[in-house]
Amino acid sequence: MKRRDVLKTAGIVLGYSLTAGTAAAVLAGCNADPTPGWVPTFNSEDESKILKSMAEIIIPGTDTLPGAKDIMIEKFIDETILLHATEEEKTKYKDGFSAFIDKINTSKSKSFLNLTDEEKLAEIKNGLEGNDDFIKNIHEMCITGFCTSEVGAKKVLVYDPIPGAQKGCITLEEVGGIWAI
Amino acid sequence: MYFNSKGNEEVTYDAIVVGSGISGGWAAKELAEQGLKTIVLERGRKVEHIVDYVTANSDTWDFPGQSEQLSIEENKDYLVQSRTGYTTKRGSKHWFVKDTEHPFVEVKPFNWMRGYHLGGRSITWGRQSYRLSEMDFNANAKDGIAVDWPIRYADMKPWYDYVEGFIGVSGQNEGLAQLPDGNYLPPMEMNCVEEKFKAGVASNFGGRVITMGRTAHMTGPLSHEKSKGRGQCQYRNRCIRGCPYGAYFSSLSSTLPVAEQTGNLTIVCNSIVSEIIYDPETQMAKGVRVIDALTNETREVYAKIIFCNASAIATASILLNSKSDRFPNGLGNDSGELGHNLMDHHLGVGANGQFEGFEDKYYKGRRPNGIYVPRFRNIDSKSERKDFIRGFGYQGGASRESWSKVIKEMKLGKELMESLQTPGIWTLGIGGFGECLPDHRNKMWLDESKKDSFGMPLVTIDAEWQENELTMRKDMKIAAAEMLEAAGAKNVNMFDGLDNDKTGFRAMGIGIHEMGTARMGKDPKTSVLNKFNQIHTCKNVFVTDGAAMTSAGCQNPSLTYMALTARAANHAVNELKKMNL
Repeated sequence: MKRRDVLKTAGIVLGYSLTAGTAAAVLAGCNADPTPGWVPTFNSEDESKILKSMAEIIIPGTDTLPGAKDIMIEKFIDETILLHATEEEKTKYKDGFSAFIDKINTSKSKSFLNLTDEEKLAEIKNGLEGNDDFIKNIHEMCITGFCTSEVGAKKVLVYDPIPGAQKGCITLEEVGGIWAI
Repeated sequence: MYFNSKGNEEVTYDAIVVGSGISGGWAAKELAEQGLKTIVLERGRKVEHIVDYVTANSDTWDFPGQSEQLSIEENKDYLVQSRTGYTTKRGSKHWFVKDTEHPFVEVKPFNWMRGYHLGGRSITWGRQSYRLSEMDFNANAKDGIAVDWPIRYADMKPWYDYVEGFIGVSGQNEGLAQLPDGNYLPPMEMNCVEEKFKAGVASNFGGRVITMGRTAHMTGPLSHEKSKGRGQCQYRNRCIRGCPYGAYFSSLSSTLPVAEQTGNLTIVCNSIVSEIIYDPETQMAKGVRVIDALTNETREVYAKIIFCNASAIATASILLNSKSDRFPNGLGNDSGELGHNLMDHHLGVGANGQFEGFEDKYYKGRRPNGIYVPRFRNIDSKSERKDFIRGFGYQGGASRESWSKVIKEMKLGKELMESLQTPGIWTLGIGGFGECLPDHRNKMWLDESKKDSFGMPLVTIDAEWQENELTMRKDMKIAAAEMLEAAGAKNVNMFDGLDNDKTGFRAMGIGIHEMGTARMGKDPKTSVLNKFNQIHTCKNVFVTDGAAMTSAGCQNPSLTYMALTARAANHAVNELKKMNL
């Protein structure tokens, strides 16, 4: 997000220039998140790789649109569980994850990461249709993580931080997608 | 800022205002503008407009864990404040107290939402601004309950006009007796499904009106030049974080800057008023005792008049704590009504449904407002109900399903990418805001056996929705569904948040409209305040926050607090001029 533009807009609307203190406040939160060398805290590194792979199947992107591969979805999932899950939910998640891994190891004689994309898709689809809580949870976290990420919001959805005006009824064509916020 | 107590002169003002929220800011403005040396005592920290709205431009990806939700660990400090579901998100949690630091006692669950900082809850309020009507001011007399209001709509009309003109309220006049017209900036726009709903309800329910929400946002220029720092609404709908454009009314964007420009205003933060000091010789208050929130030291501040604007429960607690030989049960409490008749608005009940069609239509701008269904029950003989008195309004809106639809639809892969390109079906929901009756059983008091970290006895609240509210809710649910169905909605779903509410999350206080704890009335034997919000028996103390309310109406109340405050402040100045105070 171009926060300098935010400042400019604020200045135009208010008709005065913002103070240094204000500028600092408005710019706060502008930290990039390069996360070099990030390692998962809740999930193991192997689990994290599986999560990433599942996410790329769920949100593959297209020729023109980014997908889960373009963001650190595994970090979002790790933090979501760490920050927001109760102890009971954490246990259920761990158990669900183990069961999922075991099931594929048994039925396919190889790990999820070694399946073809078609096989991965089929596994996730079966889980969703079979009402598997773990798969449903991963599916939801992947979509939430992607759509609330900067890449998802700006490149796949339609992001307009300062609409400036309100229009009750316009054509969908004028917007061209789903509002990100 | 600290007091230096070199002598009484330095701590003596013309007027003290306790609290800096919606009504305190108005008291400060009116009193300072009329030449009174005024001190505002705010118990919380100092906040600088714009600069301290630290999350105003934050996106989800700027927050830890890429989420607006607090972690389970952090939430432990906000176990009451978080019950609304929206107050203690990352963008706004710094505007709400930590319950761990500011305890109170819930005899029955009570959702007491508090913001201790300069500007108080004027930063986070819902901004919906409706006038009470003649039928509201007449309601207690008509029904023979509680006590009669000592004022009528005609007393308030000029002050509503004045307040709306100053703060800027966007809305549409409809000519309704139960919801008087006002002095409005241009209304915001309805979307196409809201328009369909409006037309469907009008044609199926004898012209029943649905209007655009009336909200304290600038949708056009103000009619005065005093608020040049304020800009127009940018439709970001991040109001609760504080608006960097000053587009909605708050004490910080509107009243306090104007009060400061007079040169008559002193603001002192971190100043907890513990009691009002009564002088038996003059039979008036001479000042207030203040605890410094940072050092716990005690000081006194003196003035000719005192305005109590700490919010309904806090104001009542200060008065209850102000004991003297003359007032052993709290200042002005001859009636025994101080702390009683606690009211709120009951909400979280209504219906939603889906509307087919309009697939090629959408909207622009995150409208910080909704549609409003003005009260239609018990407004005339035709609409009279046998099962409950008073009435309710609805607030709501229509929107298209957003990206979260792909979770529900279990989309994945290529299908998901396609689905993320088009918004989903239209849904419309309305939720009721019901009037709550003044009831002596609903009360708060101070428990002297329990103290907070400042040595103040703990506020103890014992209140619950009573029979009229609970009966009204049944109609609120059904009437909402009837309107939706008549207007062509499909899959209509009724909801009532009180069902299965074992946690008390929907208990009283959830409307954040607590009021009535020091009611106005004609008779000192049954009320605390007179028709100008003066304590009957201590006339230089004015209470103009929610505590003053004699009945609740079903309208969002803050505009009425502002109008009452401006009216009372002008009366106070006149009385001072006449040497009556």
